[in-house]
Amino acid sequence: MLVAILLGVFAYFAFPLSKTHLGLDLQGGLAVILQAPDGTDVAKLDRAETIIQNRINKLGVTEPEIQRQGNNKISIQLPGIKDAQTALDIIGKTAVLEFMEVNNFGTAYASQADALKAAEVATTDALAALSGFHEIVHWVNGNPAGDKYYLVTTQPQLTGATLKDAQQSYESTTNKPKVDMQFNSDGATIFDQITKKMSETATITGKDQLLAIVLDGDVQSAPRVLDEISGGNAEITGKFTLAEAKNLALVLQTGALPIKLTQVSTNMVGATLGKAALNQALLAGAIGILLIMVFMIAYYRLLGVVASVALIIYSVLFIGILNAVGVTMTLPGIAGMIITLGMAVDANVLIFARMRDEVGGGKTVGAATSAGFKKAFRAVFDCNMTTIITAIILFWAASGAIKGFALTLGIGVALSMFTAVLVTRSMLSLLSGWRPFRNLRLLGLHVTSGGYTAADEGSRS
Amino acid sequence: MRRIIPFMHYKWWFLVSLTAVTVFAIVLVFVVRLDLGIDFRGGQRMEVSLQQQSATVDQVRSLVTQTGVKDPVVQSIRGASGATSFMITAQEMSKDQQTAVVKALDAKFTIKDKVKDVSVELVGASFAKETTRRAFIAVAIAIVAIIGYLSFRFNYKFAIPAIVALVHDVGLTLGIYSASNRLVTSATVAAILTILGYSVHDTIVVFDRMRENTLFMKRETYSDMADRSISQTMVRSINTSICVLLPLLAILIFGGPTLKDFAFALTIGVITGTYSSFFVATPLVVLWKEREPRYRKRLVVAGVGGGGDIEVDAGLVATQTISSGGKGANRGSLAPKLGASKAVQPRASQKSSKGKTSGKRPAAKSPKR
Repeated sequence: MLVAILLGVFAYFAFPLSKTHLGLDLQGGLAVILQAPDGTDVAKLDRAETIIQNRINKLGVTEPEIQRQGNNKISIQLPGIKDAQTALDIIGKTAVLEFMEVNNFGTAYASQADALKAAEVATTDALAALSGFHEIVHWVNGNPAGDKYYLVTTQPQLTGATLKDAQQSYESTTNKPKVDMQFNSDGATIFDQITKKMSETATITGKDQLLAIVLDGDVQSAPRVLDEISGGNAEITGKFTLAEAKNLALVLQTGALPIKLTQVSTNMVGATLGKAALNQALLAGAIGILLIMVFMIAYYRLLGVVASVALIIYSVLFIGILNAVGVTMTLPGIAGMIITLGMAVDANVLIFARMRDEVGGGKTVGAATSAGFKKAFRAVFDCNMTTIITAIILFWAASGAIKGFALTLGIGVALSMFTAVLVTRSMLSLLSGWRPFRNLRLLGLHVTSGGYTAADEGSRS
Repeated sequence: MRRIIPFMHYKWWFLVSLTAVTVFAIVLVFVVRLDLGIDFRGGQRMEVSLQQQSATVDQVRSLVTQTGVKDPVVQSIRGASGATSFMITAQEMSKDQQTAVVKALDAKFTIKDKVKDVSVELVGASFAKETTRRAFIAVAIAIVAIIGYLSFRFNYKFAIPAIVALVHDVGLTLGIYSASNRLVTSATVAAILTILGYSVHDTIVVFDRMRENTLFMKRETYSDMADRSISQTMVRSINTSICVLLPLLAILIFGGPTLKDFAFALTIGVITGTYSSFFVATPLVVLWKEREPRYRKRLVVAGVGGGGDIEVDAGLVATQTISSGGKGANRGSLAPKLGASKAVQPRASQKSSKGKTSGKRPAAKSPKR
């Protein structure tokens, strides 16, 4: 008993409610699950996870939670993040940067069909089968006239893997945001060679040579190559807002994801909405606990008071345990907590009802107490076990916030067995010497007036 | 004096009518179709908090439709203080459409902060499929696990009826849930699983008492024993359910939109779980147990050899006979006579009990078959 109170006090001070980790549904934030294609090997997934981790770190999120789910999913939780949309854009971007030589002297086509016609094939598949490996890349909203399509050689001349660094800066003439890139030595050499070859071709043919800078399959810009560029610097200009340029630089710094990840589920919660949900849940919980106490005290009087005290100890311990374990509290998790409040006292109801039986069977309060606890325990235990079993199954099956519900339900029911049985038991034995605790009426044990009980039957048989 | 109502006398009534109700509820689920949320179908959900309280669901819906979103479901929810919130769900909503929706709503009803006051949730179709699959598997495993546990703690003749009662609880919950046009979300599945775990509570309490009473009541028919067990545990089962219902009620009134649906499902589950323990699970155990030779024998004894048998009136509510025995004088005699029947039937055969109180026995009923 004393131990329980001490534990409770300790829990209260060591892990107060205000320190609880709040899930993103309660404080706003972003949750996203990214999925890799089936059969992706683990090494690539690991690498993707590391890259995502780096990107998130650069975003400056305080408590990111990145987890592997199954064998091809990565779950990311960023509670409290302000601009969820931007974060989402950055995290999920594959960021495969490719430098590709544009065929047919930089001819741009108005549609994919036109580009296919120029290559004299009917489908993109047929195009890919052509010798020389051609494909079509797409330049989105490059200019107001509409999208452009280029024919390029499939094999990129250079990729983002050779980048050393990237930053956002401004174009000197127009002051528009742009992204500067620096290649490592390998990249610089290749870039030098490409630009040399292309500028020579341009001089010989007298026609433009374009180098398309392709990010995730879309052309970012396609500058004319006029001269050999040595020194390993390149830039992407043209169409960025400041934020876009910054984000792209960030993504390029961390490197491309080795695989394309698709968002299979996203949850962005506005901070205000999360807070409203939290307040409503807490209010419901507080009123729930009050209603239970009123009911218990009205029905079981002093015993009800004892149960109420046990319920308070339960709540404090529960929050303490959750914080000590470091559980992130979600909305369904709070629902789980509120429901276990009811389940915590229902063991007391069973025990008190047994005590009534025993008192009705003629036992003294003391004897009835121990008999009541002993006889009720089996049913209490079985009841709680079925709930714990379902909580475990739910924890295994559910994802996201519902896992939080399963967790609080399971922990709560297990803990409630401790408080409802042991704590009330020890409280009753401590208080048994006190006069009011010998008064059946005050104890709420008077209602039963005799009756057929297991007790007297037991002595007969 | 505790009244013993001969519930088992009417066991067929309960079983037939509740089976009918359950079948009806399940048919209802298939007719009305469960309104599957995006967790199971894939799609987008937006929650937007608007400053102008005058906004109505219809207005919001028409604004959303104007942006080109097909078949949006719009629900009004209690939002942050001083604002009305709306939940917009659609199978497909592009990013541009989302932006357009926010813009249109802001123009008409004012959104205070386009980042803080807007939530967007997206669930991909394949992910939704997996969630659905897992939900089914989880429910199946839960049922098997509960049968397993009850078979282990009691035996299968108790476990199966308990599960049948669960089918009734869950069937009814789903029926009412779908009839009230609520979206089925992951939280609903969590509620169903919780019901599976919780509504056996009351069943266990009755069964536990029956298990105990079987040891003491060596002569009574199984039905009588079951009736007595129900009478002894009914009040406490109702009380435990009230304890769980009270916080659920608090959530129903004060909780947010997600929790409300969740609490609604649980509330139905807890209520049905309470009465189904008495009116589905117990009658089934009785039916099954009374096929066992020893209990069949008792039935015959009760029917044929029931000494001064009672005349059972047609509309009989309860019969109860008292035998006063033991040295403890007539403390417990003269039970309230219920209904039209009266039969105080002292049983000479009863040995003096060492107990201080009177032993009471339920009346032997008229032959059942």
